[in-house]
Amino acid sequence: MIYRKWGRAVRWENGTIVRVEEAGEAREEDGVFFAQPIAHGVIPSGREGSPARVIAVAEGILRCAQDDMKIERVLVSEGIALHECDSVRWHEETRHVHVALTRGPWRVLIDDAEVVGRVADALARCEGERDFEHVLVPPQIKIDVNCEKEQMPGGLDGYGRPIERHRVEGEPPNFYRPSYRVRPVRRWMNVRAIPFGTMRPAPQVIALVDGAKALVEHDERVFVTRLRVDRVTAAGERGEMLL
Amino acid sequence: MTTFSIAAIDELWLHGTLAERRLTHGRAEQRGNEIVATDARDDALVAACERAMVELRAAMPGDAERVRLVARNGEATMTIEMNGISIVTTPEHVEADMQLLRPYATQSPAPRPLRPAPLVWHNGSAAVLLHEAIGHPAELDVVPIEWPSWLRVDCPISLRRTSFSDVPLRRMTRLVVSQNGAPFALPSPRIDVHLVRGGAYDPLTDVVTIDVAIPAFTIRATRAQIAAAIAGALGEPIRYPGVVCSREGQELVVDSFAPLLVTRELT
Repeated sequence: MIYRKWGRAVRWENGTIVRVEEAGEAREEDGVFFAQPIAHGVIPSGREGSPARVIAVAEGILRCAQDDMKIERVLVSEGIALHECDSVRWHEETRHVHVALTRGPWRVLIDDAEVVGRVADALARCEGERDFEHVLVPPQIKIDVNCEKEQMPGGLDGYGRPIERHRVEGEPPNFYRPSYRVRPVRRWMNVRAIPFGTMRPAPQVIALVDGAKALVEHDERVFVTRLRVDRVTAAGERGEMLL
Repeated sequence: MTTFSIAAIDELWLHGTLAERRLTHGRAEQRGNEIVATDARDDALVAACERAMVELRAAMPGDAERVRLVARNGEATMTIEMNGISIVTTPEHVEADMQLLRPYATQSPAPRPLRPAPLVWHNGSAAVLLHEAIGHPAELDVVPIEWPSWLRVDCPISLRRTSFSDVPLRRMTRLVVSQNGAPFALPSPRIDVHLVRGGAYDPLTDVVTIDVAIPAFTIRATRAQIAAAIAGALGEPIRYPGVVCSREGQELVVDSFAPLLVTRELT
């Protein structure tokens, strides 16, 4: 089985713009995994996204710094990849943002450019650490929790096979391939908590904080609280959870 | 304009059988704050890596469970793992370094110390402690703190990157700890540190974490606590077999040396 990938990407990383073009193939022969570059040119220049757009997103994030709140890390990337595995071909367009904001002892991690301003404002208003009986985790904030989970359908895995709905138990049916250079490994993807229980109002998680904590908003006040990932009280259809 | 070219071959061997082999090559051209990176091939660098891989294969110990051979621009390193404990070495040093690893290959994991005690850092392992407590803060321009006057730490810093698509970062090229007129007394009781699994430094909290492999325990202390705990040292710097340093996802080998070092309790 031979897997090939052609990719182009542009990223802004802490002040440097990086444009990357690469292509490679991986094959598995008698249990041995081989990977090497191959000729590119399959994806025309410019398809990876606009450096100007990536720079604009990064500069928008940098403008969110205020008072004693610092922006420790900004990474914005856009890319396009064409994958081929045996007779299956598929393409993928990606946009990623990784931001770390710090204030006092807290490092807040954000992966959505749209919310950086709101999170920065909240962090600047944070009053300290406080425990809450429950917190509400919205669907866009991804955390690994200890409860019954399921893999939701969508997309193709590292061998070009469909990712199908499956209860998370036993061996994962799909393979994760982050790069052509890495041997695919079985992994659950598109995972959510299986809906159960009754959702009810609680302080809302705005962003994750390093050290298994979260920034939460409660009655227009902001605190950092410990996330109790082993105590899921309810899970909703859209992926929201009450911890 | 500055250019950077790389070729690398790495192989993973499990119980003497080849499991993975990958070739990487590329070139980065930097103008100002823009890098254009492609996987262009430099035949001379690839040939140098092939030669280094021959040397690595010849030097690979036959009794290791897991060996990763890496030839990077012709430089050869190997990571050898036995019983969950690993060293990073070169063909030149592999025989001597395996003498450190083999005693733990068939033993149960060394027990966690029952109670804190002064630490004696053997085999150059203090280089890992000071890599985290002095080297990384220097890379990040963190304000220095005071260390014992007899302690000297030489850690040149330059812009380095792991691969052609990475942004160069200020990184240590090596770290050499030496002493000049240090006090020394072997404490009793004590915990003898032989091998270290890894470490980290968080500039936000100024906390250093050291994951000791032999015996198995973890230290979490601020730089100031570590500086205050350093009690003495003996002899010349010894090469420590095993510092692959990761920052921003970029892994680099950092040659590391330290004398026998004594610290007070660190937990």
